Amino acid sequence: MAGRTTLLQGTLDLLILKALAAGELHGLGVSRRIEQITGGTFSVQPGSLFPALHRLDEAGWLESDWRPSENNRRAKYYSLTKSGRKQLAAEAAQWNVVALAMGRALEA
Amino acid sequence: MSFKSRGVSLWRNLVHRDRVERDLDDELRSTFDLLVEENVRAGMTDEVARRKAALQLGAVEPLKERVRDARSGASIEALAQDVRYALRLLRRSPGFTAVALLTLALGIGANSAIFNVVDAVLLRPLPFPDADRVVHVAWDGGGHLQSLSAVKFQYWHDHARSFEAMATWRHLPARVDAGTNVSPVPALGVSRDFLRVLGYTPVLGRGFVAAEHVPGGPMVAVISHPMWRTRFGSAADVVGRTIRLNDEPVAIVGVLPESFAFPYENEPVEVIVPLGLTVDPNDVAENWPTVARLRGGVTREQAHTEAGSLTESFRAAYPNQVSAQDRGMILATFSELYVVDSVRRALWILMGAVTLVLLIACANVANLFLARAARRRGEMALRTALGATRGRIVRLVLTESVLVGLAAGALALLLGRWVAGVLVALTPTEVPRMAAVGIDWRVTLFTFVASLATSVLFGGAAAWPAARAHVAEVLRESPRGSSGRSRIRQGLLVAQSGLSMVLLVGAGLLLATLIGLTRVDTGFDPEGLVAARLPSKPAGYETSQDLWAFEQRVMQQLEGSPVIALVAGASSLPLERGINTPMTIGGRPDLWGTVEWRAVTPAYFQTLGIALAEGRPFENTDGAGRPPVAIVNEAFARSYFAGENPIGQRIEVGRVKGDWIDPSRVGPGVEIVGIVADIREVSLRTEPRRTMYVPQAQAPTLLSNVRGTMPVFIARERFPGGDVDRALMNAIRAVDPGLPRPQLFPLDDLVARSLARERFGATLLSVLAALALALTAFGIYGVLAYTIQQRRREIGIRMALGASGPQVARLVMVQGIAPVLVGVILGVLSSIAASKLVAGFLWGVTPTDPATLATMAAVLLGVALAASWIPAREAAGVDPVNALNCG
Repeated sequence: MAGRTTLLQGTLDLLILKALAAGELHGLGVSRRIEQITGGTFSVQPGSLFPALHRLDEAGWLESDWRPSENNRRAKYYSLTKSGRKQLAAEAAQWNVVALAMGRALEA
Repeated sequence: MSFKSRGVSLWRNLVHRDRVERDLDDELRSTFDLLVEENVRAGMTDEVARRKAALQLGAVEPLKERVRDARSGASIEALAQDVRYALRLLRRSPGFTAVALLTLALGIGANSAIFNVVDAVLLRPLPFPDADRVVHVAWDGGGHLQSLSAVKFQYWHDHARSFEAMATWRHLPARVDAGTNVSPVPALGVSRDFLRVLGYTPVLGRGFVAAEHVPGGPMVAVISHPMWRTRFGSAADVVGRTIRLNDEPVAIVGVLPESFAFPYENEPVEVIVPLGLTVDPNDVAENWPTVARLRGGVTREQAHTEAGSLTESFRAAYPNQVSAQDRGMILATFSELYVVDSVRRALWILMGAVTLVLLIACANVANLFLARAARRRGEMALRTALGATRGRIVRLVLTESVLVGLAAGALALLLGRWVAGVLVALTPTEVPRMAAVGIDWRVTLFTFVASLATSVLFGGAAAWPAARAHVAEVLRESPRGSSGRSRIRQGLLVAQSGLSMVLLVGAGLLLATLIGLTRVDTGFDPEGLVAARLPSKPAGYETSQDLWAFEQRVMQQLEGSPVIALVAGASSLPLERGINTPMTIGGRPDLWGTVEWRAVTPAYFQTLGIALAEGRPFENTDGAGRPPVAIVNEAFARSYFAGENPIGQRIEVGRVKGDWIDPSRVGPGVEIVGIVADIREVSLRTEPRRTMYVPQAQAPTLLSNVRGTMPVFIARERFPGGDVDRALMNAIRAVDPGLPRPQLFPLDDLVARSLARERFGATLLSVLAALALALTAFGIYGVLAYTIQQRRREIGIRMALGASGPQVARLVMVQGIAPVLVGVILGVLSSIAASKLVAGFLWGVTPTDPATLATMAAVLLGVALAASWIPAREAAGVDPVNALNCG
């Protein structure tokens, strides 16, 4: 695993929400998608992913459903709820504010 | 974060746990399958694919654990789990649980009981409706608070605008005849608006009307709710019925509500009757306690200010009612007026003492839990290895201790209630509001908080070392790392011994005081003496001559009585406050002071058995119109006539240095004709004061009437067992049947009653000290027994290396005695430091009395020795072969 960068809980939540923005995925799929959209920087282990998924599910931002997967086995699929989408937008905006400020600070 | 979503999840997680677990299982299994598929597609064989998938998924159990922890309700679930587990553990060791429960229940229960009393007497607000509008009106007589005189009461009643109503009352000893039984009942004579001030309305009938508050008005009464229930069976037609009160028919006009409470008397009031207040400007007797209800919208401060400003106009209107050092009318609190300072201090000291006992009990239970925790070290280490955090382990131990603590608290509440009941029965009557002692929310809350606090205290003490257990070290075969724990245990023993020492010293000092007081020579012989005291003074006995005539007639009635040998009258009894007056020795203006003054009949000294040292006793010829005489006691003679003969000298009563207090008192004074032995006229604790006695026939009315009481009679029985009571009562009856029934009691009771406070305090503190001693002894035994069990191997080795039984026993005993010794020293130092607190209660012994300190130290060390004896013997009996094999 190239350079294990530690992920804060809040950051992981944001990534999961973003990963599901395009459509529903099962647990493993979420992990693969995060790897994809971060260009391989973050590879989330099941040990961190599943607790986070369940937490977001209970918070009401995701909903889950058992569906047949691509190979016709049953898998638990997660998708964004309406409040989940709102939460994603809010957290993304917040992240941008922080990133801008950090960038400015580090350039100074 | 949606609450609804959380709520739903919480419900689901707690109630449908199985379904949730199965769901997670399925999800993880499906993820595993997907991974295998992925790997196979990437070209691996089935077996390699499965192995890789397993690695990718990671350890399943910890994963599930983490998901569970992330769920809502995880902590609740964990708590429930801990509680269930703790209950199971506690049930499995019933001996441990019982001992811990009992020890704590005793400690918390004692605290609950004392707090109950402290709460009832000092903390609870008054029981009246809207009690914060009720104020106490008192007269500040230059530093001390007094009740009002009738004149003052009337004046403020008429002029004070900040009060909606004012009321006063007087205790009336009453006898009620309602049909077949005659019994004494606590009764009150009350002024107008009494019920209005307190805020009660009768549930049946009415209160009193103005016409009934006139002296000589119609005889009516309002009865209490309990009396209505028990004597009249809650009959609806009780209004209008008559009862016989003190042999007079009295019509019932109302029934008080059940909530009626009168905290100014210790017995619940059963009957109230209207009082007609006679306002005599010359009457300065301050006998009228006063309460008032503030007018709506008026604050306490405003009322206080008005009371002060009215004092000035009062002083102008009635100058003889206000003396120079009086500061005037103020508003006071119930506590200031009715709770004596020493009582308040005593209660708080008691609270402190009982807290010490609780701490000792906690130390014992902490030791018990420590021993138990040590046994569970293996289990704790395993838990840590499985991923439990330190917080989780601490929570586990705390759950157990909180369960025990709360259970003990519930037990303590019951125990405390019983103990409080016993306390109420035994408390001397000068502690007010004892009737209010009972379980209310404050006491329950206190008990609950105490249980919780003690649980956390001893649980924490036990949990802390458990949480620090190092896994590797603990799982090794022979655990050696118990030094830290044993230091805590030793420390607890030191603390217990120290606290016990403090309590023992306290109890010892109070006991020494009590014993010293019982040995005090009262100066008279109370055996075989009976006193008759009339509770009030009716009309017709205003002057000294009236009193003397009354006494004479009673004594005549008893002449030749078969049961009474001698009888005398006096203005007050020994050991009770009497009258004191300023005086100057005739012709010597520098010899002046305040002395005790008593008016007595000639037979007084003989009846009481007081020896005449010099001169002559009073004769019947020392009457009105004859030269006024006096007899003084030895203290008086020593004080003013050291080396001279006082006989023949004169005392100018009412003269201070050169000035007469009152122009009416100017005169040649009284001549001293005799000297009698000292007796304790005021109290057992007080040294005999300078006292002068005058014949009642010659006593000035002004002095005779200061306390407004009838003279008391003292009779000496001819032989034991005679009915002196009846003879006295009949004689008084025969002379004046209109007098209220006298109180009759043996003088022995008086002496005992004067010691009531000391006896109570000494008993209470001794009980607490004994409790502390027992708990400490138990603690020592427990610690030593446990230590021996833990160190059997070490003992075995020592014995194998040649140590003898007695040597080992000595080792063990030293282990038990050493911390106690340290504790004793600390306890002695603390007692010395705290000596000022108890100094006020002691008599005849200093707070740092070496004899007491030494005795109590010996007691504690002796108990420690005894407690160490059994474990020491057991250690000496250890079989080295056995110990080395099993260790």
